[in-house]
Amino acid sequence: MTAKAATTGKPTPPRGILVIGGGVAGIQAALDLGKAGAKVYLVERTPSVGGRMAQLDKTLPTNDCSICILSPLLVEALRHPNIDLLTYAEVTALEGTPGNFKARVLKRSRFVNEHDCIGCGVCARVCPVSVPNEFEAGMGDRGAIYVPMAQATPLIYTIDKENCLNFAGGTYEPVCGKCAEACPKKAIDFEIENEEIELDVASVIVATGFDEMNPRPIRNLSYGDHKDILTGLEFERMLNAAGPTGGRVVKPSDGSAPTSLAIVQCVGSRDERYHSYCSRVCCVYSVKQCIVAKDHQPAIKDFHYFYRDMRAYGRGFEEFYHRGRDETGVNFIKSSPASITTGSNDKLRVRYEDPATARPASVDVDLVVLTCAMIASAGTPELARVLGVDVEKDGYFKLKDPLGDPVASTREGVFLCGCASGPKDIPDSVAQASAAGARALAYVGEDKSPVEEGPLPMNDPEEEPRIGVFVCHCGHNIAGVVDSKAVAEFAARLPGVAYATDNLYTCSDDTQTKIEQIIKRKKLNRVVVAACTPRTHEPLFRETCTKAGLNPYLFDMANIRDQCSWVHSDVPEEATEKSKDLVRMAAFRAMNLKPLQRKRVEIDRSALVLGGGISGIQCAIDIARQGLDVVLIEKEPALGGLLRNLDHLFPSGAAASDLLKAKIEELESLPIAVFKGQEIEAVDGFVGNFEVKLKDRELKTGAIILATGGIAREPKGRLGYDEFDNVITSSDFEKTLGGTEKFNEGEHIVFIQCVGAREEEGYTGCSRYCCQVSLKQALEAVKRGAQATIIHRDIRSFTRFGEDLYRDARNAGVSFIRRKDDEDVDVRGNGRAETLGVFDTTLLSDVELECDTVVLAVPLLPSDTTARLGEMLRIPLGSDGFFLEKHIKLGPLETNTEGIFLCGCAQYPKDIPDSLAQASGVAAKVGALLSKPYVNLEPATAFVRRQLCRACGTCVDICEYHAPELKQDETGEYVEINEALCKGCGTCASHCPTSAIVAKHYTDEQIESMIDILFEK
Amino acid sequence: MADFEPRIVAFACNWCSYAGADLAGVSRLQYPPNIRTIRVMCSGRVSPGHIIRAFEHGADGVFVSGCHINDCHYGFGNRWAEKQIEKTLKLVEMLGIEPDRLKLEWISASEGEKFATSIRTFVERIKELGRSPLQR
Repeated sequence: MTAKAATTGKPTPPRGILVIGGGVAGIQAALDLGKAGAKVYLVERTPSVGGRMAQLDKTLPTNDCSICILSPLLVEALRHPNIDLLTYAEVTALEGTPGNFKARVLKRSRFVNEHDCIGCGVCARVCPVSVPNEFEAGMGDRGAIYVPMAQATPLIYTIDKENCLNFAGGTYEPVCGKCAEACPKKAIDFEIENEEIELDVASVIVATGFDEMNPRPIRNLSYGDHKDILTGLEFERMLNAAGPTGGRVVKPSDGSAPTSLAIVQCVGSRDERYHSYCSRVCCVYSVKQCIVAKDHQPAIKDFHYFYRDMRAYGRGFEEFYHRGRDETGVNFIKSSPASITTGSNDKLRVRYEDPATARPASVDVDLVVLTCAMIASAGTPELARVLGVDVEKDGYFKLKDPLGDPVASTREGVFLCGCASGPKDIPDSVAQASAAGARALAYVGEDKSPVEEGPLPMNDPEEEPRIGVFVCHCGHNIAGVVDSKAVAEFAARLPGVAYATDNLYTCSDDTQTKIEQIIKRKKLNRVVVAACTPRTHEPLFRETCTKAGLNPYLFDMANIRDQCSWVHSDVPEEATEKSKDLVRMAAFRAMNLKPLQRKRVEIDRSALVLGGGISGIQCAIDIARQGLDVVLIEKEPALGGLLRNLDHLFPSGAAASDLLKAKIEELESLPIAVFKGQEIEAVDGFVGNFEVKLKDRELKTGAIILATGGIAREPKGRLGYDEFDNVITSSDFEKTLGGTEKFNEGEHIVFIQCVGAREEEGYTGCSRYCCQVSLKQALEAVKRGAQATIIHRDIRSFTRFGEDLYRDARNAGVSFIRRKDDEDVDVRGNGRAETLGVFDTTLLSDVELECDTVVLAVPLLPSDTTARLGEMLRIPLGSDGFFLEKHIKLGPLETNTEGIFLCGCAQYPKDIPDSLAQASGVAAKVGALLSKPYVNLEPATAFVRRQLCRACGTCVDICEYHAPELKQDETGEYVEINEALCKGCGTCASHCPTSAIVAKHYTDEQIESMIDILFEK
Repeated sequence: MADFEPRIVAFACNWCSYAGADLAGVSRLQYPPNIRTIRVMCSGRVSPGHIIRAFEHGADGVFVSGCHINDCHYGFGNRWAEKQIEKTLKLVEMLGIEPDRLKLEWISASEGEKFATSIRTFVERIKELGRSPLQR
């Protein structure tokens, strides 16, 4: 397992972990590792981190602002003491062995002194050069000295040698020098040289992401011939408020507003001439683009969306697709356009086969968006050579064992995550990043030094308030509606306010530094930020306060974006007035805030995994490999969960029993306590200190992992399942395939997809894995002499090798019938199902099929313990009944309760690689949580003012956590609140008849000050 | 009273309703700008004293929102809030304030739409009632 530390005797710098690529996956891996105590070197090729996610306007299905949720992570990585950010750098060599690699990194010169640059941008304004900005997908311009975007992390300008006039001849010859002259910090130096750095690293994580395919070679789609044909990424930048058009949807040819749009899916994807795989995210991101485009440009009347199979497979995606159809009015056309040419009136003509008539048709539109294939990022073959790892024939890095290990490359000690190993959505990338982190961490051994969290700075609560107010523009998001400047001017006049200003992006790295300096310089003892929501950004600003020596509880936020500018965009004046009120309320609350100190509690450095399926097993293994104690609990008498119902596995064809056997052997080789036939009966405690009661024993544990899986839905009352013996489910058919016997010549097996999934009522979502199960089964049946037909609505073979499987099935002779979404198959027979009637949407007629066996692909439901556990642990469930993750994009491994994690099908249906990635990812999170022998408790709890307490016991009755306890001493009875148990809800405080209880940080005084000031004349 | 713009204090719990209000924003759902929201960790934190104080100082309406029953982040804080509001309604009536001026709604983190609609409806109702009797 862990590599032995070098025993040379003399102190050497700790071996770190090299993370290559600073997109969301690389950042996530770096943060997990940094928190677990490892030294991380994050190497990013471009001048700033953030990757593709930073380019996106919104994330789906919540339409949450992409940079808003990403930016706090970027800043956290930049500030993390264990993470070295090496931007504008590339890895040039990797030598040595796993556990003891030597990596060489070339840090290219920016010709700007990184420590001196303040990111003011004066240099860029005087630069005479203008080249297309890569970050804007070539749509906007930048100078030869530039930052890719306003929120660049780090915010340091870079001179691009390729385009700078001073390097026209290849070497430096002073020609221009305008930027150097303009720089107020004299940070520009054309003679700074490249730097070679050598790093001792134990392991490597590759997170190099993807590029968008240039669709120019697909000549019939005319990209490059017409300005009004954009790629998906170009359109995304156009939709972005910070993008080249400020978020306005326009025709690039003349700047006018389009009234009609065509979206073309699978451009270069699922196409053997270009890239045969499915790019996995395009179907839904285009729906999002339609919804956002309509919002930004209500003039758009028609959205013609051309697709092949609608692959809306993630949580909430199916519902999102319906929202696009029903609310935005997107016209979904199942057809691939044959050509795009110039039509009448400067419009573009899209020719296609109309699926409703099976005849040629055409439509004229103003703008066309081509959703192009996601391809391996440029430089992948070179980096593969440097790292000594293999690439797949499709260009992505090769996984050694795509089924059994979703992160291992072909070289030991080198791990892959995110889109480096194939197209992926954000939550899958993030989960995989954590998984790669868990594996990489095992090579570091004892070379870990978790960041100690010392006591918070404390200020004198009685000091005269000196409040600083920072009002955010959030680019156009706030300032487009609210007059941020006027709000800042208003704030400056409020009593107690010593300083007030407005910022373009208050969350950006440079503004954090600025706030820190201002707090010190202006001796501020309270800070108010008027920006977005405290739910996402309060931690960042609090950290900035702490860094400036200000207690973080002397901070408050006014939400003038999510709850003001965004919801009152039609009444800007009122929105500005409301913002002023919100700022005033926050400032008055701030005056009454008190500094709080966090409390350190010892923790139990062990984890308890609930569920012994493949996810639970993997998770327990990866936690144990970090040297932590693990207990695994399975309610059945045997381990294996859902995997026990499977025969052979796609894509390797390996036997499920072999995979399971190998994992169980690995589990048993490690010091992991396994309890079978046991369930949790009660849970008490809190993060780091859970007490779990089983039938016959009690356990203490620091973390709980929900890996409780799911159960296949029984298709009762559907499609003859109750009536006919030869109508069975996929799991039943899997057992039939368990043997090796051949089918009778010509025996017809018909698969029916989505039986009880993607429905209007009940189970509205997609169950994610069923299409591939049926494809695999149909292919196998055909190989063994049967005929097979799959009746489906869309074939959703979106996974890494899913499209190959679909193609193999078609080539092997499996037939496909696409039925209508709202019409069931008619199963008829007498004792046995004999014929099926269905409307074939390709032939546009009813067809009758004779069948010997009907296999129903049923969705996965939450396991029967989910609801009970949810209640016991207070973990909320989604509308689908599965456990709800902390954040749909960036928090797929955590729950809302600190110390409780989730993985595998407990979250929603998943295939084996995705479940394994999540399981290993959770192990990284657990490793970070348990890296120190203590956790710091939230200090905003309640306490009892003893002199006022009459020991009535009201609070004792109310509290669900048993925090208040009745006590007695020589002076009499009283109540005391156990801080470790108190969650800070404050319900006891509002019920105390003598107001003896104070809810810290939400005191009566603080709440009332907001009310009072609001109505002050 | 055609141009009467009511002034409303809203309380929202951090975990559900405040997140629902954020979602209304993220989804760009428009509602009238008459509310000023105070974030509390749980609807159970809102005391009769806070509500009465808001009315006394000039609020035309008070809107309290929390997680749906059984969804409370803290177990049953919202059930306690429900009881508090029932109690407070009696106080409100004793002060001669119409009970419709105090509204309790359960709004989850995924109900941006419900947040926007509830505010719209509440503002309309307060407009019908006119200025608070304590302010006339």
